[in-house]
Amino acid sequence: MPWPWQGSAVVARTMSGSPCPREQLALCVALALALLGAVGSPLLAQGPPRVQHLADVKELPGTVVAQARVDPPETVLGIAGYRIRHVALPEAHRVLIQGKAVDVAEGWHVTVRFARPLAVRDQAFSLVIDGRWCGFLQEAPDLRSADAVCFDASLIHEGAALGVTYRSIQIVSSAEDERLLGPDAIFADSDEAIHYASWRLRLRESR
Amino acid sequence: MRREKTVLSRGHGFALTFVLTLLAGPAFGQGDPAATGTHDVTTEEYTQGDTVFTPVGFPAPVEFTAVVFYPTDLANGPYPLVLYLHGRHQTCGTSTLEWPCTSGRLPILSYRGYDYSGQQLASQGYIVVSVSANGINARDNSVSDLGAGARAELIDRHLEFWRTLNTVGAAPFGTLFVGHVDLTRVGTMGHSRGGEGVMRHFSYNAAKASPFPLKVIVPIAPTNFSRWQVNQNVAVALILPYCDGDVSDLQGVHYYDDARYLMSSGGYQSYVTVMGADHNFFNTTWTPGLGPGAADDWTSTADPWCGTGAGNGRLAPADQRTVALAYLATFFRTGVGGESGFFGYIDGTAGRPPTVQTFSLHSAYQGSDAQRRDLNRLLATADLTTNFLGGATSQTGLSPHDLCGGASPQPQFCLSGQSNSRMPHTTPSSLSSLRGLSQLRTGWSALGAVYTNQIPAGPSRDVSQYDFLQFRVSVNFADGRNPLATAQNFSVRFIDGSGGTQSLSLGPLTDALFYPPGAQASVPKVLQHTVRVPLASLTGVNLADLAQVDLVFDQQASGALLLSDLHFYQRPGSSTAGASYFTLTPCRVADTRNRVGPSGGPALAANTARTFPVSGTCAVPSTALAVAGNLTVVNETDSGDLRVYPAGISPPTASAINFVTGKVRANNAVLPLGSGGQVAVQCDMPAGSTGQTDFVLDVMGYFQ
Repeated sequence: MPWPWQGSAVVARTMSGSPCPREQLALCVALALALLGAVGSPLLAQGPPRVQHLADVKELPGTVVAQARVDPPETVLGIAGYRIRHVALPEAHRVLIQGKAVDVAEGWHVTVRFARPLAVRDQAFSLVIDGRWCGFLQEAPDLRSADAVCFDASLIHEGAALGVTYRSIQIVSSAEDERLLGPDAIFADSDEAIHYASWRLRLRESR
Repeated sequence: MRREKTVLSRGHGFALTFVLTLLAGPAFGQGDPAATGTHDVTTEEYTQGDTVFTPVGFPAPVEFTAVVFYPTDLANGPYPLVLYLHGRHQTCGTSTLEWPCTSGRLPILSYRGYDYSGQQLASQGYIVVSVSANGINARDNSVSDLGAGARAELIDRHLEFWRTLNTVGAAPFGTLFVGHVDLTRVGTMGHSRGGEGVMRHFSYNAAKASPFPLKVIVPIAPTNFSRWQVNQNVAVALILPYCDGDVSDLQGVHYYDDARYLMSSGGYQSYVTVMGADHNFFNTTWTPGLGPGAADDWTSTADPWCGTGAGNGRLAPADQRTVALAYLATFFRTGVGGESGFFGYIDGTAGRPPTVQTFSLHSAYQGSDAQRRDLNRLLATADLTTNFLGGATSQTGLSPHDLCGGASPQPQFCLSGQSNSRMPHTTPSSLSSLRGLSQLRTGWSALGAVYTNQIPAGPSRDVSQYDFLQFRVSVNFADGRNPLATAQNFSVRFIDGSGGTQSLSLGPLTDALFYPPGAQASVPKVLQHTVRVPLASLTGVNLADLAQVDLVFDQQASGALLLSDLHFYQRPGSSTAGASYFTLTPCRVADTRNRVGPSGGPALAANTARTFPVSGTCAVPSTALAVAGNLTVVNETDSGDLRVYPAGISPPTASAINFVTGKVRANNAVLPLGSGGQVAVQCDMPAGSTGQTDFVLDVMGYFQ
């Protein structure tokens, strides 16, 4: 849960609705810190776009830094293209990046287009760049695209491998998952082809 | 005869569809939990609209809609309540994920996909509510917990609605259900993300000022992103489809693994693996030909087991539903209804329900602390030399022989070079840093290897009260020492303190040593199932002085296994096994209407327990193991149930008798006696209740 956009109500539920599990302590702390930041923020009270949910970040204005059309579509999931928008947040937010709480003031809104409608699945649908998780993908209503917000600046670089996967990826631990080493590590397993796909990023301009 | 009609609009802003179905089914079949019951069933839908409330932290409003199946003869109730929650699926038209539906598209009725089970359970005397969650499905990948919290809140809203229906009534039903819903007995089932929803709801509900008394939770092919734990007097019964092409890593097995040693006050953990089942076919709306845009989630068509070719292991959709029907009935009739006849289908001691005898199913079960004596939990390195009872542990001829999959410093995975989906017990969890199941990874290359657990002298050696030696095991398909596609076999050797020895070959006793089938994508899998060795078959060993248990690898020349949870298991109510029955002139041993005393008043107060002496009264000897008797409740001032159990242990999950306000109820029972020859009685009433009930116990015989 590396984004704290759920607002105060979620924190209240975490505190009173159920005990914060020890293994999610870092997450709970991050959420609580984010709440404190939001409550104390003069920016949110003065009219800039209000960011309560992750979905709100996707609506913020931004700059397209990478965009590509893939013809013919690549991979078993039929990646037909992608677009990455750099988005400045109205205020700093604390998020989890590779299991560590980090204050960020920017994010990258990544939209991946597909050549055919996605199947709606119960398994988590993740955006992966260079073998690292950087956001859950929300399918568009027509199931022809999906988008996520990535806060890990280190992943957005020329030549990075962009992928999508339905595989379980642990995102709250700072420990290295031995299966997530190297840019294409998780794409090497042919037994689970349906679970991922990849394409190389080409940035339109340097950040 | 079957009759249906539809009535629209039942006022107060609710759109209502009313379907009345009269079932004239066969007589109640005691041995078949899935048999159609004797109640006629009415089916109705209720809704308050598509955008009724916004769950906390959720980006958009969602619907409040459900279908309910209930016994038409409500006046003969009250009836327990069971709630179903479907999983994630497209929401509108045939392949759209939006909410509410636009452009004239119709909602996809995922919540109607379990009608087959709702009808059956209602005919057995249950109120079954299946809830729509399309609004959550449309946006849940945008929230940090992938919708678990929203689903828990949705469940709670419906349960609270039913609390209102039961107390003062509400539109669109008016007072139809007032007094007819037994909210002391509630169970939930969730499929896929709905499975995680019902597990999340457990803790959501527990934090409420007036929680609903959840008895059993049934996740089917659930996600488990956050590793919610359900334990402490609540039963969790999983259904895992081996050919799941969606939640293909069967991450739901973590629910069992995480809670199996956290059941100090009752409950159990269980799962049944349905070998030919996919993810979707438990829901008719998600089944091709029955729902819009539905598909088989297993897409590797050529797999020799899970593919769709002729002669493989896949179940037809109707067969898959037959399995779900049997086990949902088993779980809820046992855990919510308090019936004792089907428990053997849960712990596996009675095999499978009659309607699924021909299917390939494997099960695992772990009882509460009161039901077990752990021999070796296999959790940490020290367990390789000293077991849970303090005895020495050793091995000869086994390599490797180490622990894997559990907390660091164990290796995170037990198999190398295999995908996570082939190793469900260790598959990573997206939203939790918890590791997986600690397992003993062992193998042998020649006959005669032995894994030994000694039991130190003292009371631990008396295992005569237990029915089975149990452990979980899977064949390690990735180790070439296992003959391909061949079931493994080995022996368990028991040695008593006097040197008495007896060995049993496991082959005839278990199906858990199967070679996992499949060759593509997420199969084969190393998924552990329970081996049960009946102690009653040990005629040459003194079970009151058992000194050593050996696993002897003497049946196959080589092999490799993953093992966990070595323990002795006592079935609930099994203390009369092997005992003789002696009749008594019917005699009253307890009556709380009498003056205050050990066998008399005061009445049982809500949510308290007390003990009653049995041995030494009514000619029941001190050597009696159990009594046969009749329980009666009278003068109840609130609804509830009684759990009756041997004094000195934790209360069981199942109730012995259920009651409502002001109605005399009676039930026959065989009651094992506990410490001091006493029975304990736990009076369950709604949280916060100040009610009470009188309790009468008559005995007609005893076992010794």
